[in-house]
Amino acid sequence: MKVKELALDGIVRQNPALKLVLGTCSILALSNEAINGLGMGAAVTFVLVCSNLVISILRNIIPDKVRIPAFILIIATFVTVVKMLLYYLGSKSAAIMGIYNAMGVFLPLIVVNCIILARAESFASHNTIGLSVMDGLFMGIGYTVALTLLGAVREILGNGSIFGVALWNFKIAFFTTPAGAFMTYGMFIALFTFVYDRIVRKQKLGGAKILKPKTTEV
Amino acid sequence: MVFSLAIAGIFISNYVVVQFLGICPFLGLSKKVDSALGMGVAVTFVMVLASLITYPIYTYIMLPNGIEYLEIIVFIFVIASLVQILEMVIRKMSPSLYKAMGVYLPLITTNCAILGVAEINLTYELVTGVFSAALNGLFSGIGFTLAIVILAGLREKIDKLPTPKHMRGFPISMITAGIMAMAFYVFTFITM
Amino acid sequence: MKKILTPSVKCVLTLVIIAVVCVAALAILNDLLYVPPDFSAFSNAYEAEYDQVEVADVATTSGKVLLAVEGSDSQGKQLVGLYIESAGYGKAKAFTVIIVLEKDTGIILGSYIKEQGSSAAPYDYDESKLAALNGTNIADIVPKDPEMVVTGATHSSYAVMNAFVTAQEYYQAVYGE
Repeated sequence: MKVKELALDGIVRQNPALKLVLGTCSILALSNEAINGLGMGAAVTFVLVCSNLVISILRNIIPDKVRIPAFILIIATFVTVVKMLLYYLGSKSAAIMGIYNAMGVFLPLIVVNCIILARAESFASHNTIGLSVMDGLFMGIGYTVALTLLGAVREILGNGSIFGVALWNFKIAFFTTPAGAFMTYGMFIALFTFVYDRIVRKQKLGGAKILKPKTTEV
Repeated sequence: MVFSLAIAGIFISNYVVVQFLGICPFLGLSKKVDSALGMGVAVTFVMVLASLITYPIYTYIMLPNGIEYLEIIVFIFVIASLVQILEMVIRKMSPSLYKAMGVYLPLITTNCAILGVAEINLTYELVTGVFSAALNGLFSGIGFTLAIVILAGLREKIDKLPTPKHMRGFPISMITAGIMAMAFYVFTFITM
Repeated sequence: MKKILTPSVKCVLTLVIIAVVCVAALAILNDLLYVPPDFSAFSNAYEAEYDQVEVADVATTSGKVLLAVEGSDSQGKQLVGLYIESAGYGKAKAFTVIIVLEKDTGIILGSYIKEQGSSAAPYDYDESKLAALNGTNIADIVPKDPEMVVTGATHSSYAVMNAFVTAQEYYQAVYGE
């Protein structure tokens, strides 16, 4: 039962990219193509799950005063792991090398991605291992879905392709520029909030409580 | 060289609206021009110090000893310590300044722009030594301050206008940022 | 024991232990996930198997040897490959040139320009001129005689020439008699 709650939280009710609006730097930078969104999302999910896992295991051992430095240390380690892994896999596969190069400086910047520190601080340090891992996983999935969708929209409109597969020749270059990134992301957030509020209102009127936000606040 | 670094850092590769670094404070804090300016100055200061410290550590200590893989941990540790020390120094030396700015300081640690500039210094072709690294930190910080102050100015005005309910807050800030990005996009056509 | 473990000591100790564990784990992973450097650049100049060797400390006037490799081709010929960043000349900035020499004789076996230096105007260098150098002994390269290398903008020719001069100096210092 708890799993379903966590899943709904991570993917819909508290979607890190569209509701909490955390980690915006990497969202804007890596949403130019769908595959980049997917890659970055996978990397962030990996770090989220691993750091939530370790932090949850150590939650009773780490003194409160040094919890932030300890969290950052653990997160930084896993980000380094992802970097090594991606580079290694990239040497075997050109597609992965493409993602690695597209990420550029944003790969090490995952360590200051607010999502990971926020989940560590607000969830993993107070909850059991299993739940923390689930939370990390679903938050990561929510982030990945949002980022990939955003990437898909920008890629289709800006480049006429999806996941590198050319669709047609109609391209609006605006969507590949930084300005396009900001605007598309802004509209995404607005759209998401709009739809979400509509559904919540409908639920309230109808009595069902499926999408009423839970109190696992950040 | 200084000139290229300056133009590139402030305009052509502006950290906020071109490179997407330092967005969180950009969005969250830029409601008033004063606080934006304060944040910008603090960030610039930390950027210069961070560049001054991380570049030599990486180039002269880590590379020759083959421990580059510890780069992320070392850099974030340096930055976090820097911010901590800075907070203590400001609190001791100028309580009024601390009251004005102290809130932002812990946030600077997780600012993408600081770690970003430290990382970029390592591979940027215009950075060839500690001095140019520090300069890059300075100009990138100035660019960040410029962007964040402009956005604060715009938001002050926009907050007084009737905005559609779902556009309030993040969406309208993003769109404003997008328009700024369009303005700065012009600079990318400068070749030096 | 409890007396030593004051809160502050506990704090510092926890951090130190975490740090040590993390660094150790990363060190192990770094070795496990090692990716050998890519020598395809040299194979583009001359097809062979290469291994990295240490760049000798040779004072070169017109450029820098960034990477040195040695190898042998399918016929067992010993080769030396040099990844050279040449000094710029005038408006042309540094060029990155790969030069492969025969180890025993110093004959140029292959070369190509990996990265054109930025210059005031775009130009087309003549690849056949570079190819025509194959078979010449590196010792016969005359500095500042760009006719031997590429035609086109003079400054760029000189800059490419600088790469060959660098190779000449390095080869003669390290492998010459």
